[in-house]
Amino acid sequence: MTAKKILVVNNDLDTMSLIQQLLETNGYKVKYSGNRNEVIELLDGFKPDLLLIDILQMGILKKDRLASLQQQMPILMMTGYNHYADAPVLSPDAFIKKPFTLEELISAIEKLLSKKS
Amino acid sequence: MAELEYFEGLLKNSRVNGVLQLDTEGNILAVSAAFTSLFGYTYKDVDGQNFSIFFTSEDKLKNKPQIELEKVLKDGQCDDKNYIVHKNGQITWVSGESILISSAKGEKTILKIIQDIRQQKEFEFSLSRANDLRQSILATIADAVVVLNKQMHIVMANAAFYRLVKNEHPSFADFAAIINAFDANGILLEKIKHVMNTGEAFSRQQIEIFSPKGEKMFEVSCHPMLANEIEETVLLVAHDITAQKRAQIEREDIMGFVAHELRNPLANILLTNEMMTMLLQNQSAPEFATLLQKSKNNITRLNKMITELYDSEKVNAGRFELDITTFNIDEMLKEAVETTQALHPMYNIIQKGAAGIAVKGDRYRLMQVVTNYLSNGIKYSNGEKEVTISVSKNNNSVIVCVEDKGLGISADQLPYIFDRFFRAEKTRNLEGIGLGLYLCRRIMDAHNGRVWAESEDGKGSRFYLSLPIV
Repeated sequence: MTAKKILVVNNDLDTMSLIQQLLETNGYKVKYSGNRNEVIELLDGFKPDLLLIDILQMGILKKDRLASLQQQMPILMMTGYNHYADAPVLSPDAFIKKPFTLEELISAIEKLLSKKS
Repeated sequence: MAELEYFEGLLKNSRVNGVLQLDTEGNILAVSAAFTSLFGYTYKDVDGQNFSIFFTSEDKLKNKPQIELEKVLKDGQCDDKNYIVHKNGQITWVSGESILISSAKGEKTILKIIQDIRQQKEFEFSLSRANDLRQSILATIADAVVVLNKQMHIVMANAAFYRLVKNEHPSFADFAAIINAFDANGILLEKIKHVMNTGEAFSRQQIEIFSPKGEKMFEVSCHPMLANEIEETVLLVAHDITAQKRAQIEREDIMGFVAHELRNPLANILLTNEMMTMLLQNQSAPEFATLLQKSKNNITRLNKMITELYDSEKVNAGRFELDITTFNIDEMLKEAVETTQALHPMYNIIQKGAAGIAVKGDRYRLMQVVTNYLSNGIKYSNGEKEVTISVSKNNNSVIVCVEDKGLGISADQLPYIFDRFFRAEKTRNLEGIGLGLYLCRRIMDAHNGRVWAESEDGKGSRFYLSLPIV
């Protein structure tokens, strides 16, 4: 079984590198970026199986791009908001509330990945 | 004067009104017992004197006794209100009526009946003072006050109301026409009509009104009122809470922002913690594992505080919308038990009974109430490992009860446990900031439900919620 690829998009370097280390230790392949052009490149080049993105970074992707992305891969959104209703988003596949444990993160990722396949 | 002696009975027996008998010159022929008890003079004191002795010197100067006498002789009757000088010099306000009486033989006498109206006068005075006071209060207060009759005409309105509607309409103006511009959807009008028709008052309802200066939020109360015997009216009081509301919303926005921002570093701390836990996994370092678990518990605690603070701000700002769905309550309770149980594996949560019905409500919020009750039961368990949750239903509602055998709540603190920021003395050293139960109450209020608790100090507590079946 090939390792599942996750692209992490956030503006906090600490968050991204921590998630990368944790997920890679658990058998995922992870790349991250907070830069718009880089993210677009990675989407095409890295071809992730799942996009893990902070709600506030959604603006990096244009709305139409996001909609087509949703067709291609599951998107898991990280949010610091209390309730999903407060989060300014399109129809989301899933949310994970900050702060989250590794266990919660993996379980949310796996749920989405299994839904896809 | 034989026939005039008939008046003896009147003079002797009248109790309420003083009676004087005068001759046509105004000289005193007799005084009644009541006159003596009211004004102090006995017949001996005034025998043969002119009745002008009862007048104040001022009235005497105005020649009032003479004028009165002339009038009664001319017209046969005379009445007026005057001061009378009491025997002890005190002055009393009285109402008097003089009647000229003639016998068959042409003998004439005057009967003067005097009523002490001091109390009435005092009453009138205090009434007018109260009226002045009411007028000045109404004129001064910032709340708009309006009295409306059945036709929705303004019977009375204060300056604040006219300031609000920028209108100088006279009394009995059409309230509906005035308010129409500010109450576009007619919400207020409908509510007032309901009070008119049913007599059911409402109080402190928040209503948005578009005043000429922009959108305003009011807390409106409306009560039926009997203005006089013929007309039914309603009293409407509108209290401007726009500034308060705005401040609340601003505070909520700030809290939302702060909560959001605080969670970013908190997320990193938790992930770092996870990283360290993982790195330590294969090494025998039990002390570190304990320390990391402690630090993790505190992250959870901090996050819970952030959530509570943010939620309570939201509730207070009135931006607390329910996401109503129909769901099976037993399943929701089971999920709440499982979630809480997973967080506290050392404890035993026992679920009893089943409602066996679907209910309508915000499942997420209701589960929040139940998990709050459950984790409170555990938090304040004082070493007892068992918490019981039971559900029952009656005709109108589903009742959930969470019972613990822990610390309990003393009787003097029990009434306040659902208040904001309240923390029972003995729980001060435990986690939480006193918002959990407050939120539970607000959530149940929003569902037209109820929360309450029973407890005995040291013997545990029972927390209840009831949710109406709709």
